[in-house]
Formats: sequence, structure tokens, C-alpha cells
Amino acid sequence: MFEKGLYELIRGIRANKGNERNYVLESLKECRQEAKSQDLNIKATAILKLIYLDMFGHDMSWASFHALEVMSSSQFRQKRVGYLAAVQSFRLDTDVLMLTTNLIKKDLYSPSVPEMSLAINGLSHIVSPSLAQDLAPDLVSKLTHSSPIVRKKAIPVLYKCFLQSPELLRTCWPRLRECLNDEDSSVVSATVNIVCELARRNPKNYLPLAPQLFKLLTDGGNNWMTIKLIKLFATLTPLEPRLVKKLVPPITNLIQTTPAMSLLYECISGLIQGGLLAGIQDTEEGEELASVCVTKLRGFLVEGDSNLKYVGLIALAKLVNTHAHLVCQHHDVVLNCIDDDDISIRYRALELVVGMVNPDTLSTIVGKLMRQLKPANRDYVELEPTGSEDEDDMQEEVMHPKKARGAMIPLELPEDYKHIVICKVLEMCSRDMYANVTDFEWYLDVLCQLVRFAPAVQVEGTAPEDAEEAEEELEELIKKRDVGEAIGKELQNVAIRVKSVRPEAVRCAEMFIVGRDGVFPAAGGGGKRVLGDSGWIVGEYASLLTNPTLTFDSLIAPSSNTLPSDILSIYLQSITKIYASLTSSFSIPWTSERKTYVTLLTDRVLRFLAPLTISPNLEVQERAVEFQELFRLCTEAILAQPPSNTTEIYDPPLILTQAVPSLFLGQELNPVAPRAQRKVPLPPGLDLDEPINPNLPSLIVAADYNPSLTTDDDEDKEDAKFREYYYTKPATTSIPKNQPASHGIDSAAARSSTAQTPLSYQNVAEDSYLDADIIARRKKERQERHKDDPFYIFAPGGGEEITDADLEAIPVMELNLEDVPHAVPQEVRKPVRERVVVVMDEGIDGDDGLDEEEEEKGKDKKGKGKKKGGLLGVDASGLVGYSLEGGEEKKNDYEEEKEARKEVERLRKEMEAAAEKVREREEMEKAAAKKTKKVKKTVEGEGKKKKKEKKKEGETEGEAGEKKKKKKKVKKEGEVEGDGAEKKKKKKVKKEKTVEEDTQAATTVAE
Amino acid sequence: MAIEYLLLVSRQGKVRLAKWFNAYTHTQKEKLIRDVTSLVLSSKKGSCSFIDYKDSTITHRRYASLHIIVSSSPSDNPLLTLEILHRYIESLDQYFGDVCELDIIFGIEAAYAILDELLMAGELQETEKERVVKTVKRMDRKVRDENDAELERHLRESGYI
Repeated sequence: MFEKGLYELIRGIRANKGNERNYVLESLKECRQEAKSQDLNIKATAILKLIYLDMFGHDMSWASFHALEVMSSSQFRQKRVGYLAAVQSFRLDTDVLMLTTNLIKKDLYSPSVPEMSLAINGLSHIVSPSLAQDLAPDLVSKLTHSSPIVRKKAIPVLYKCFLQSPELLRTCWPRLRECLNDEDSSVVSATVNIVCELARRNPKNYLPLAPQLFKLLTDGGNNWMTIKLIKLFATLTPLEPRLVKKLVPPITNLIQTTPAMSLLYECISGLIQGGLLAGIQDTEEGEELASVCVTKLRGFLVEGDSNLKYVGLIALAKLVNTHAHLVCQHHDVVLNCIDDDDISIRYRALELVVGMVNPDTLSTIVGKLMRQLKPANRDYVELEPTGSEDEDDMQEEVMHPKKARGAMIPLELPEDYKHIVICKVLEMCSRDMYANVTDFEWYLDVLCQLVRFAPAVQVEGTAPEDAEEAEEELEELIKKRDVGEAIGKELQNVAIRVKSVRPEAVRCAEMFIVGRDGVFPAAGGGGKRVLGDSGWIVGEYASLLTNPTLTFDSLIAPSSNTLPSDILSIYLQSITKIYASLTSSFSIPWTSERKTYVTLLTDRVLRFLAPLTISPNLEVQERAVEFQELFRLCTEAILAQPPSNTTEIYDPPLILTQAVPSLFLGQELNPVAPRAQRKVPLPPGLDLDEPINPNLPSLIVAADYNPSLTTDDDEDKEDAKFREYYYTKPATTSIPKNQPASHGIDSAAARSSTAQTPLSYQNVAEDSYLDADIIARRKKERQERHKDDPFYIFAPGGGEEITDADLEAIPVMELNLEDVPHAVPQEVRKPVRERVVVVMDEGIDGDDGLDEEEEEKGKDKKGKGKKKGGLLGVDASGLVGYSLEGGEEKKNDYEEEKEARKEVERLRKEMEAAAEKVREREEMEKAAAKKTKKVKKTVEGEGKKKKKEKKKEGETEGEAGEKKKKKKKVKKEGEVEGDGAEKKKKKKVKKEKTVEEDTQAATTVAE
Repeated sequence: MAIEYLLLVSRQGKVRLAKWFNAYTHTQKEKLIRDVTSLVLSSKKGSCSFIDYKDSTITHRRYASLHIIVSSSPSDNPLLTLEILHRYIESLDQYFGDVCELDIIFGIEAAYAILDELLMAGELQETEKERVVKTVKRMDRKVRDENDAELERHLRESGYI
């Protein structure tokens, strides 16, 4: 039998059109046979064919041993195939990997350079921790090899070895460092490359190289290396601010002279990333440099090359954090990018504009974004041409392609993009507590419109194993993904915080609730989650509803049962609230009609609640049962109260006018900072375990007999303080308002027509993104407001008719501006911006409730999130904070150790004091059953029992910011004391240590 | 981490070359190829060369019937990545002489070798395409010499010479 080579295989696949799969399977079978062959030639050919087939998805990992055999061939052509196979298919868990050590070692010392480079290159792909340790010394010896090809190849491989076992860095670094002085430029360049990578993990170690690197930068090597050098310096400057002054001149020079866009971009990006611009921000020089950068970046955007546009936007987005005013000058070009055909560019532009918005530009930008979401807006784009797969096509020279036209397709915005647009709109508007929103009515309209634009929630295939569980998961997922949730939160926020537009906000919510079936079609379409917060709003502000009965009807419609359970439980609460507002009125006489009406209402609620009392969702069930009881009581009371007639006047039942409303009425709800609760001081003498009143049952019994029983008798000072805290309203921290927000519309309209906005009025006209009905409503409102204004001309029958009129038919007089020599210059007054009162979060002592501890944790998380995966699945975090010299760390350690010792000392004293207290208490109270509980509560695990000591340790650890070091010290302390309890603690500490800081562990081991 | 992987894909979505600088499992590779290829092939004419895909940036460019696709970290300079992949195509062009898709299909071993000379551990190691081509040609010569020697040995064994 004559074996076919790779060429025959490819030809064969191409000849068997339509039957490729069978042919490939057949060939794979042959390869299996051939791979077992004794003849290395046949074996190598088989492996080569397998490599080819591997590209098409036919896994070749089973052949790893055969690949190894081919690797060890003495013939270069076979060895090359073997290494290629290893590179393509070996992984860290490939079992033959450990057999490669000696083979690679041998090849590393091969007299022939090509063979040596094969081994080095192969190693760069398959290096594992053990290979790294075994072969690193050999690689280091290659750093002084006579051939520059070998030298430059050994350097990146060493980097790969460091990733696998970080301690190698310390031993190899001195030799590696010398390569920066190599005579061959590509060797120097390779060294710069990996120093740049290493410095990203731990820049501190490479600061001493700064002078040498600076020389390389100013000597002006090739652009590739210059780019890497700038990247490298950008990581070093944050640690050494003095470098900024030195670097600015050469980089400025590069920016002004280089013709290479990639270098220009890197310079600008390096200036931003390295904090160079921020560092010299206040100087005149800095401002000048920043404006040069921004001008160059503007050039990127207007160049017409989409790639430059893309990177320009990235750089601007980074710059906007520090130099927003400069970036804003160019917002005309940036805004054009928002509407770019290219989704990638749109994403970038979107990120940028979020940083650019100010009160003047907000409505323009939001308008533009919303116009994109409007389904009617379709742009056409040309696809890349797709050719047929024929020989002709494949012979098309890649460097000189023929001209071809692609198909035209409508630009389809991905749902994900729409989702992000909506989120960004919300982010822009709500930023800094609505600092940019001047017209909240407009904002509410935008929110309503956004709900209609909300993309359907896409849920990627979930395993339908357990139907019920899957459904729950699905609900969770939708909750996270649906923008309706976010829009609802905004609506709620506005309703609570901006009192002047609260009625409008309530109206919006009402619209969603009532028009549920119209706004949210049963299938498809997202945004349904807005119903949750809308439900809350209509309930909480029931008195502001324009049509409470209709809202009430929609809430208790049987179709509400199908809503997600969390929304349903909000509904239940709202139903009762609206019920209270509908029935509580004192002024409506209790006539028999009224009685019938109320009875009916109550009955309907009860009917709605009945099926929900057996809801599988606990929250819904609980609320339904509770309210059912309440409404039953109401029914009883209503039936018991006879209606007024001509002779006798009866009041409505007290349960309706007093009891039910008192459940919900009281102080208005104000926004509270998320963590403010934690800072509420514990009222003195409050013991949470103490029953509020030991003889409560008897009191209740007494109350039944004595309705005049009152509770407010004595109020001492402390009580007054307590009262003041809980019941007195603190002053809101917002800016005093001059005018209600409703007046903002004119100023907003005037603003959009002033010269400040480069776009024409039409471009941002609201009708381009708001739906007709919303616009009609706005118009009507405006007319209402200007009813008596003689400067407004109205169409006789209201605004709607105008739109229907034939606009073409209206005679237009030509206006010649030149004939009017000096038209009276119209005074364009910059409209004074009105401030709308936005209620800020309430906190304690003006504190926003954000704990430092919390922030610390956030930082920690961020740092951890940055971990990046390295080769063969090992992450490179081993190099994070990895010091080259062992000494430095010890010094720091000593400082921290001292601190930690103090801390431990303090804690121990506290613990002793606490133990003392407990002992006293124990003597006093002999009631054994309650004891354990109490000790736990009052001293918070500060007891002397070992168990609790352990717990306490956990707590203090949580509190302290710098976890790692302290624990280490605690461990030492434990040894000193030799106390049993301490030993237990030590064990725990040890465990945590290993989990949390492998880096640290690595260092200690090395030491 | 510079470059994570590099793919050469035909206009019909057939993989012509796949180079992985990170270790992926077979299934991961398949998924990446599938996702990224469909992203790239559906790109619009005149659109930019960069697409965000998960945590990485895909840089791609079409050369006649071939798409070259490179994935790198978003912190990398995208223009530089673009230049690297252009450099690779240039090197291929120089090696094969007016390279076309078929050259790469049949000369897959050389295409990998050129890539290995250009990039190492995901970093650009040689900026001069002449030097790249020279090194690969030297390897080819070695292979040819070995082939010649083998042929001669066969002939000798069979008694022809």
C-alpha cells in the first residue's frame, strides 16, 4: 500500500466534494495505522496529516505519544513535524509532557541552530512548572550564545518559565538584565518586550532600569521597540513621579514628529495611562500638551479611517476622566461617531459620551441615542464580499485582491447594543444625583419611551433538567438582564427624590400599570420588569393617581397572577394602599350606595387574593394571607355598619377610615443611604432579647376591656433624644429650588437652538425619538401653560390638526436676508439654568454611609479581578508583587509586625476585659438556659470560651483593613503565649493564609 | 500577554491556519473558532478591524479570500496588533512570492514556521521580514539536504548507484 502524504490528503478532500466527512474519517483511520508504523517517515507524515485535520476539529491529542516519537527523530524534517504537533496539541495535562524534558534538553544543545530554535520555540508553547525549573538554567546559558537568533528566542521563553514558576525570576534576572546591552537590536527589543510584561505585574522591581530604558527611548530604535518602551514607562511613572518631567520632552517630540499612527497612539495613550498628563495637569505646559493630544485625537476621528476612529475614541475615553473640558470641545465629531455604521465604533463612542455629558449636551446626546433605538431608523451597510470556494478564488493574491462588492443589508443593531444604550442613557442622566438633568419632565418622557424600546431579554439555553428550578433561575436571569428593572428604579428614584414632578412620575407609573397589555406584549419585548417599581409608586403615592379606580382594577386583574412573584408581592402591597386611599375618605357620606361600592371593592380584592394564598412563592403567600385576614375584618366591619339614612347619620366604619390607612400613612419615605442603617446608634438600654413587655398577654386582655388605654405617659430625656432621632425630619441637603421643574421645558428648548449645539434643531427634535403620543401630550401641556400668553399662537382646534394639514400647500415667502442690512441683533440670552430639588440620600451626620471597610473590600476585589491567565492555564498572578530582592520585603515586614503586635495586644486586653464582664454576669445570673444566648449577644463572642474566641478573631480580622500581615503576626503571638485557645486560632489563621495569599506564601518559601 | 491566538480563515469560514499561544482545550478551541469566525465574517465593509469579544479584542483584516484574525488583550495597542498581522502576511508574501490561499493550504508547515519566527510567546520577536524568510529558507534547505541524502541512500541500497 502506498501512503498518501499531506498533499494527497488535501487534494483528496477537495476532490470529494459533498462527501468530505467520510473521506476525512477514512483518512483518519489510515493515519491511526500509519502513526503506529515503525518507519519514522510514515509516522511523521501521519502526524503532519493529523495536524492538518486537527484544524478542522478532529482532535489529535490521542496521538501525543507518536508526536513525541517523531520529535525525538534525528532528522530535522521529522523533528520539525514532531515539534509542530507538540505545539499544536500538547497541554499541561498531556501525560507525555514529562517525557519531553530530556529530549528538549538534548535539542537545546544541538550544534545546529535550526534544531535549537525548534526546541526553544517548542518549549515556549508547552512549558510546565517542572519543565521550567529543569530547563531554565539551560535557557539562561543560551542568553550568551553566539547566534543572535538563539539569544533573542531564549528571552521570551524565559518569560514563559517565570510565569510557570516565579522563583526562577530571582535567579535569572541578573543575566537577563544584561541582554538590554546586547549588540543585536532584536535581542534588546525582545528583552524590552518581556521587561514590559514583567513590569506590568510588579513595576517596582524595574525602576532601577529607568536610566537605561530612557537612553533606549531617546536613541530612537525602531518604532516597535519605542512603543513597548513607552508602554513600560507608563507602568513605571506612577511609582516614580520624577520620571514625568524627564519623559515629557521626548514623548512630546515623538507626538509631533512621528508619521506612524500606532506610535502616535501609544504615546498619547502612554501619557494618559502613566498619569503623565494628570501629573502636570495644573501647569501651563501640561495643559498645552493635553490640548495637543486632544487635537491629534480629533484628527484620528475625522481622518475617515475606521481603525483610527476606534483607537481615537478609546484614548479620548481614557482622557475624559481628567480633561473633560478639552474633550468636550470636540463633541461634534464624537457625536458623529455615535451614529457610525460600525458597531465596534459605536460601543467606544458610547463609552466616551457618558463621560462627556454636561447639562447642556445631555438632551442632544440622549436624543441621538434614542433615535438609534427607534425601529424605523434603518441604515444600509455593505457586507464584506463572500466569494465561492473555487480554485480561482483561492488563487487570488492576498496582497493584490480583486475588486468585489458585498451584499447590502440593513444595519441590524444587536439586542445587546440596545441594552447597553439604555443602560448608558440611564447612567448619563442619573450621574452625580441628576446633576445633568435640568428638565425632569423630559426625563420622565425619556424613561417612558425607553421602556417601549427595551429589547427582549435573551436567555441563553438553560438546561431544562428540573423544570421548576429552571424557571426560577430564568426569573433571576431576566431580573438581572431586563433593562425594565433599571428603568423602574430610575422612575422610582425620580418619584421619591424630585417632589416637583412626582405627580408626573406617578402618572407614568400609572400608564404602565393600566396599559400593561398594550405596552408589554405577552411574547417578546422586554422592559416588563418596570412594573415592579411602577406598582410600588402607584401604591405609595395613591393619592396622586389620576384614575385610582382604573389603576386598582388593573392591579387586581386576574392576569396579574402571571407576573413574576417578586412583582406580584409588590402588587399585593399596592393594592391595599390604593384600597385604603379609595375607602378611607371621611367626607363621603356612608350611604347605602357607598356601602355597596365598598363591599364590592373589598370582595373583589378578596377574590383576587384567594388563589394567591396558596402561591408557591413564600413572600406572595405570606402577604396574601395577611391581607386576606385584614380584608375579612374589613368586610365584617362594613357589613356591621348600617348605612346612613334620612333620619340617622352613620360614619364609615373605623377600620376603613383609621385602621387600614394607618398601616401605610405616616411620615413620607425619604431616600436613605444604603449603609446608613448600620450607623443608627443603638438606643441605650435596649436589649433585644428582653421581651418588650413581659405581661403582654394580660395587657391585650386588658386592652380589650379598656379601650381608652393610652401609652404615652412618661418621657424622660433619653426618650426625647430617641424620638428626635426617629421621628423628626432632618433638613434635606439639596439646593433650594427657585422654580418648579415644569418650567424647564422652555429653557431646554431654547438651549437646544442656541449656537452651543453644533447640530441643527431638527437633529435633536424630540419627535425624532419620542413616540407620537408622548409628544402630543407634551404639546398639550405646553399649550395649557401658555394659554394666556399673547406671544403664542395656537391653531384653533388644538395642536393635532396642524400635523394633518398639507404642509406643501402653505404659501411660503422667500426670505432674503441680504436685503435686511442690519437686522436688530437678537439678544441671545443664555438661559439661566434652574435647579430642581433633588433629595439626596439621608445618612447620619452628613455621612453617605459608605464604610471605609467596604471600600477597602471593593479595592481588594478589584485587585483580585485583574488576574490574567498565563500559558497552559496557569495564571500570572505569581509574578504580582514578586520581588527580585528578598531583603526589601523584610524591612516592610518588620514595620508591619510592630503594628500588628500592638494591635494584638490591644485586642487581648479587650478580650480580657470582656471575659471579666462575662464572669461577673455569670455569677449574677444563674438561669442556665438563657445564659449562652445572652453572653453571645452582649459581648459579641468576646467570651473566654475557645469557640467564641475563634469567632471573635474572625470578626476583628474582618474589620482590620490589612489582613494578610496581621494574621501572620497573630500566629507568632499565639506561639508566645502558648495558650490552647490561641493555638486553635493559629490553625485557622494558617488555613486562611494559604487560601488568600499564594504570592506571599511563595515568597516566604523562597526566603 | 500579547497575542492569544491567530487564525487564518477563508471567506467561507474554513480554517487555514490556527496558532494558539495560550493552552486551550479542544472544545474551547472549537468554540472560539466558531464564535470569532462568525463575528468576523459578518463584519461590514469599511468597518474597523476591531471587535470586542468577551475579555479580548479581536483584530482582523481581509486579504483577498483570506481573513486573518488575531485575539489580544484590550490593553494592547490595537494598531500595533494590526501591524503585526500585516507583517505576517507580508512575510508570507515574500516567502511564497505573491502568496494566495492555496499556497498556504499546501505550504502549511512553512506558514507555521514563518509565524514561529515572527512571533514567540505571543510577542513579536523579529521585525525584519527578510530575516524571518531567510531563517525559514535555511530550515527548508536543511530539510532538502536531508531528503536528498535519503534519496541517495535509497538508491544506493537498491543498487542503482
